[in-house]
Amino acid sequence: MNTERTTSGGGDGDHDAVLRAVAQLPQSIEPRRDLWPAIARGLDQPTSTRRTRFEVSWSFAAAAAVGCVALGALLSYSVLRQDATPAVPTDPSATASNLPTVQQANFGSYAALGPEYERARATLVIDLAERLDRLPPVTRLKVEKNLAEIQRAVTEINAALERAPGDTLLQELLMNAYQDELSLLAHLNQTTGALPART
Amino acid sequence: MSLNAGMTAEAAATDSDEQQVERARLGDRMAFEGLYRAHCGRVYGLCLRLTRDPAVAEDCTQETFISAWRNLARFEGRSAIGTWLHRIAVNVALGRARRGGLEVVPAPEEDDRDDTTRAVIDDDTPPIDVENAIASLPEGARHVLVLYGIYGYTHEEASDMLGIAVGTCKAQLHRARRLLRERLNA
Repeated sequence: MNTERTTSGGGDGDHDAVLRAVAQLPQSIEPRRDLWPAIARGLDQPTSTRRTRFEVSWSFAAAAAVGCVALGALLSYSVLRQDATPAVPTDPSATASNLPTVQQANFGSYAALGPEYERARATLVIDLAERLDRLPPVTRLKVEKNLAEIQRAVTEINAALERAPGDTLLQELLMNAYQDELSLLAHLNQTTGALPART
Repeated sequence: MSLNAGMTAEAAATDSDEQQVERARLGDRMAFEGLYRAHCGRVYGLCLRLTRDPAVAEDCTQETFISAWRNLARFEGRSAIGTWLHRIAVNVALGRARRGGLEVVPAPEEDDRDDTTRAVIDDDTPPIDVENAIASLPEGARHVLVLYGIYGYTHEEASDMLGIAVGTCKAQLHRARRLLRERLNA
């Protein structure tokens, strides 16, 4: 057993009684069981297979996050070249019905979406159809596709959380997906606020 | 595949850390098991003191050695293998805490206490449960005290491991000492 002390624990000359008592504690504590068999099994396990459980969720979440960043740039670009884009009449009611409602998290009441989140989202989706309608068709399609992508990530992570409610990584992914959606909606509102309504 | 298939872990354990590391780098599992046998106590001890939960500490210890096996090629030998393993263990334990996987574990009942966790302040005072007093410290102060006071790392090394400033490390140690003294004298 290696019991070396790599350096002097009291290098600052403050070896008072408390630190002396602490330094007397054994550095080594044997685990209650032999951990080697489990470690040996872990050595055989390829890194990639250890991530299988989260692969799909990660891919959706990552796609949604990347999409949000790309869309932010696209929305800004669209505003700049708004004048050059021909207006295309669309059906606002069709767009509004495409936006899914907020899904509640499935991992316990303590982490359920709070009223503040729902209020913030409700504010952002006001006139969403009209705002989307102000965008060039290509941009609008991408925004709608990205919102759907985020919702798909939320659905998938929620389903995984039903199976593993205590999984903190999944909880974090879900919160990130909700935040991505809010960010996208906020960016959309901010960007389209400067645009005139299409006629 | 093991390069020394006929070699037992006990025989491997008689080699120096450097020899075992070199052989483990080449895929020799017996050599790596030798490293595990030599260092698991110190790694588990650190994980237990950082997490305060034996089951979580066991998981962290396993993850530490699996991670070490996968990253042996990156070990440059500039520090002792034990120090390198401790760095990994701190990362694993703190990563778990950041992901919210750790819960505050109450101090064990009197009957569960082990004599090996007791220490003596000085010859004139009765044994006191220093280990439990350390476990009751706030997280930041406890982490610094464990690395500095028990495992002997300098402030520079401990702050590097914990990802905090050296000044913060010193302040946390000061706080830990003050709180520990209060609790031990209570």
